[in-house]
Amino acid sequence: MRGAGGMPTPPSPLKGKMKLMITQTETGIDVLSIGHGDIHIRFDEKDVLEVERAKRIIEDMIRRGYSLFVHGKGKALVRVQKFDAKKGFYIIAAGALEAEPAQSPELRPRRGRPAKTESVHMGRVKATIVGRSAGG
Amino acid sequence: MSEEVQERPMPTYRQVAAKLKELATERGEWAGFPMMVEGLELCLEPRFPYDLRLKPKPAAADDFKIVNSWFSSRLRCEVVVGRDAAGRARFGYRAMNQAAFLIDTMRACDAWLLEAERSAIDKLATMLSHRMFTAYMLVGAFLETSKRSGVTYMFRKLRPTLALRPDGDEGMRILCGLCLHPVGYYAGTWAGAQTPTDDMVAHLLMMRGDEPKFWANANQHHPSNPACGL
Repeated sequence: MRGAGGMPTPPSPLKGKMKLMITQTETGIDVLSIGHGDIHIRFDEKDVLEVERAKRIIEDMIRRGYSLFVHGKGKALVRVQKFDAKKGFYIIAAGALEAEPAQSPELRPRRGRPAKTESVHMGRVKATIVGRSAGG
Repeated sequence: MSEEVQERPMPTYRQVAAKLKELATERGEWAGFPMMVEGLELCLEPRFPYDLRLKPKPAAADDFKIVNSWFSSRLRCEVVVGRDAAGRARFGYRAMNQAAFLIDTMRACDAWLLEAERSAIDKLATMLSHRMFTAYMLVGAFLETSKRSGVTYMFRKLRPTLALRPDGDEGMRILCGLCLHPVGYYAGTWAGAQTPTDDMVAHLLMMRGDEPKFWANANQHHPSNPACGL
């Protein structure tokens, strides 16, 4: 491809970005890693062995105290509270994006019904995982 | 035998980092193994199963164990309280020099692999709007306002994330600098065990996904503290 004056056109920096935007909708597990930067773990939802392996990986990460984030309703990013390995669902807080009303800690009820949760199937979302925090 | 050992060339930082990457994959350490860098103190998160720190020097007679420390904005230095070898409480001042932070942060670049940083940048690109990603590539920082709290965050490469709130008609007030590194960090620097962009991705994920936890886990630096990187 030639640009103005017959000079070769440099590759557009947007080209790679567009490709990345497409991969945004993928499913699977992404882990922030020291040596790799970002590890992509993909699995075929129809392959039982691959799904079982992915479940074991997710359980292992939760056991290690890693933070898992998935997109809930309205594409809002929410931290995973639990993982139901039998059904393969991430349990996340429902309506996490709504602003919390300002209340003093004394007025806040300590007891009552537990916060509403919703579940997201592991094969339909991409989970991004961050290691335990060392502070700073 | 010892002569043979001496003759063997020492591995480079890059070779060690590549080997640690391999080992982490073998052992199922998903977040990876942090890299030791000579002259920098590696601080690991408490539950990390391996002690990868370099051996500390033997304690001198006048050394004391630090019990607590805090930054004094009046004295512009860190106040340190500790106990000496005899168990007596002592205190002292530790100068906080931003130039030293800068130079030591540069030294930490031996710990990171360029391909890891590239992969982290690719990840960040999927999470930001084109405008904010451009800002990151050109300036090394981008802004995002939380829909939950209304706090605006300035995510900066190799610096703590600044939390800002509107102050008055047009101005913004810096609440604090939030410093957080997954797995570990190098003391006295702005560098984490992960590559700089991976640290930013972690900040962004935590802010979007669990803002209260982000504030709870991060070290909150006062804007006047040199560690805040202003």
